[in-house]
Amino acid sequence: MGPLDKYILREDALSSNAQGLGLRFQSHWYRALPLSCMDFNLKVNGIPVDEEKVEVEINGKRFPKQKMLELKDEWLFILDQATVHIPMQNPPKKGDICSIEFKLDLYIPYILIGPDQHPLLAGTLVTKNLLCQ
Amino acid sequence: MNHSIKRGVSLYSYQEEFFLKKMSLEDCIAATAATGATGIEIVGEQSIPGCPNIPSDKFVVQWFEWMDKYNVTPVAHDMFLDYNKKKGHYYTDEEAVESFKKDIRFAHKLGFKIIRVIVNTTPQIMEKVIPYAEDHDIKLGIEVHAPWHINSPWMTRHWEVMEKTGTKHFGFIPDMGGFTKRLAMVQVNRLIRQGADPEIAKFVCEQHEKGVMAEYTIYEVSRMSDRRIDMAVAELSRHNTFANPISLKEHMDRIVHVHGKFYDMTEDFIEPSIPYEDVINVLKDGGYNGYICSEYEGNRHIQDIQEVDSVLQVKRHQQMLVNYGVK
Repeated sequence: MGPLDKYILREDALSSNAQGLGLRFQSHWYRALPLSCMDFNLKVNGIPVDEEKVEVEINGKRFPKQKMLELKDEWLFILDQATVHIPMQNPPKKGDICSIEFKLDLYIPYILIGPDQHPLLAGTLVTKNLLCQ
Repeated sequence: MNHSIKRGVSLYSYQEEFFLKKMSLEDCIAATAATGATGIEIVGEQSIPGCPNIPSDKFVVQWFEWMDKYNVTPVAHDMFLDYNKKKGHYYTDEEAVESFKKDIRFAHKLGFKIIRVIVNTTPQIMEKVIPYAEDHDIKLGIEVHAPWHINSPWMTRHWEVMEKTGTKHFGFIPDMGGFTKRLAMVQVNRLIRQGADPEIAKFVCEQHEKGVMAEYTIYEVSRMSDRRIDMAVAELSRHNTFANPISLKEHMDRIVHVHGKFYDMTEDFIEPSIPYEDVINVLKDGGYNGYICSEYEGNRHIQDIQEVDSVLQVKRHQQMLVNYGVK
């Protein structure tokens, strides 16, 4: 979208534990949006993450990623972060650097465009090498 | 005619510093007060965690403590209708009304007396929600946002609802962006930095200032260039329209609030793209006695090349209002 793209993933966004990786992301739209208006694709070290196993944590609650589009009442405040939990058998360790490719799509629910009145899609691809915390 | 126009600030103006956590919510309120403005406007989902849900009692207490501490008043909450929150499902009117009522309860809880109604809200929804707004003593104002103007057919349909219901709780909120006489150079220059042809940009600016209908300008530019970025410059003229401020006159008793949209304030307190003095004179002559809330929207056009200083921009905008007789 623009210059604020770099804030979607902060430098300390990636963390590791015995179960896998956690990736914290933030929306950079000026107004909070519910999770149902967001979608993402994620690659770690060039490998696409298996969506079926991923969970998203928001407002202290955890949901399967595949339920995300249903979560119309879970708002991600503009200063808050949601965490993507990525289960892995042999996750990178703290101090490892991982290449992260994170495509965040925001479907703006009040800006409906085109003949079919689809929500405006504000998509951003963020690519960063992040140090596992 | 006597007027008592008051000055306020939409905290939307400080969105850059707020997002970057350089300013807290309290800092935004303090910065507003420091300009001498007395009114606070917010986009709820931008400023208050949990919105549109009712904030916690603890937050509500804190909110009113801030209002007292800085001697400011909650004026307006900007409401949105998220028609398409779930893929493939659009709000029914009933769902839209329920969402709207939630905003009314939210605004009421935080002491706001006005809700800025997003422009794509239908007259049918307005009619259904007015009694609820009356019960909560909240005035609803449809946003008269470019490219619409106050006499656009869409606004006329809303005016008909105002007339038909006879309510005192529904009116207009003109946005100063609807008086864009000259295209904002911060917008034009950003597109030039992104590759737009400076000569085409100059042509578009001249056409706009002359009042040439945007569609003609877009057609002309389509003959000069087949590049998307040049068309984007031409389309600025479509999205940033100019209506004669006199058009407000006949609707003065229906104006509940004014959005002081601006893009860039010069050191000598001028907004080069919007003839503020002309609009304010119409409001003064008409006896308008509501707020004009500064709404800075230049940040997104300069953030790629410089640090945004919203506090300075708002300060200058408020000084401009004072210079034009808004005390």
